[in-house]
Amino acid sequence: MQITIVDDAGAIAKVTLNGKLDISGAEKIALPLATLAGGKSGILLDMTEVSFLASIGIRHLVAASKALARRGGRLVLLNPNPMVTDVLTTSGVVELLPIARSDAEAAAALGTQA
Amino acid sequence: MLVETAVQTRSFAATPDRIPELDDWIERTGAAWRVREDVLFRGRVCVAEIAANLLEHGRAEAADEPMTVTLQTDGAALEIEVTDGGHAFDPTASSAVTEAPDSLGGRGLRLLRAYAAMSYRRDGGHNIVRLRVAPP
Repeated sequence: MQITIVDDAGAIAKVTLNGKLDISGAEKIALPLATLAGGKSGILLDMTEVSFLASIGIRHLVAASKALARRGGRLVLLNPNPMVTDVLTTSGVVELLPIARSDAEAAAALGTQA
Repeated sequence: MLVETAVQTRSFAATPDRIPELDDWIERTGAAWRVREDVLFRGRVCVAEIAANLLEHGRAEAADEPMTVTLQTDGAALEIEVTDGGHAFDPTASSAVTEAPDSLGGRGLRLLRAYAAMSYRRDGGHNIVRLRVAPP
C-alpha cells in the first residue's frame, strides 16, 4: 500500500491510495489519514488503484470520516473499483463514505467548486 | 477437456505480518485455477475477516497455533476451509450478529454472510469454518 498526499495546500486534501487495503495497508494509512482528518475540512481519497478492501481498512476510513464530520467536513471516496465498491455497499458504510465517480461529483460531495 | 477438482492447503502463523502472505497465496492459487475474479475477491475478503477476528479477539488460547486454510474449486465456486486454535467463535450463530453494527466485527460478519454460505464446527479446541463462495 502506498499513500500519496497529492494536494495538501488548501482546506481539502487530495490523497491517492495504491495497493491492498488489508491488515498491512490499513496500518500504513492509519496515521497519515488520521492526521489529515484532524486538520482539514475535507479529504478526497482517490481509490482508483485500491485492489483490495476488507473491514479492517474500512475502519480507518470510517474513523477519518467521523473525525471530519465532527467539524462539518467530509471524506469522499473517488472511483473505487466495482469489487471494492461492493465491499463498501455490502458492509453498509456508503452513507458515511460517499462515493464520487468524477471530480465534479467529488467537488459537489465535498461542497467545493469543481 | 478434463475438469479436475483442485485442492491446496497451507498453514500460516496467525500474526499481522503473515496474513498478507496468506492473501497473496489465495490470490495466486485462485488465479492459477482461473477462478472468476469476483468470486476470488469475495473469498479473499472472507478469509481476511476471519483472520482479523482471530487477531483481535481470538488468539489468547493459542497464540502459537497457525491458521490452516484449504482451498478447493470445481471451476466455478470457491470452497474455503479455515481452521484456527482461537477462542470458540461461530460466525454463523445468531448471537454473533451485529451486536456492534458499527464495529469491525459487525461489518466483517455482514461481509462474510453476504459473500459465502458458511458452516461452523468446534473440534478439539479448533474453530473450523467452511465457506462456499459462488459466482454472484
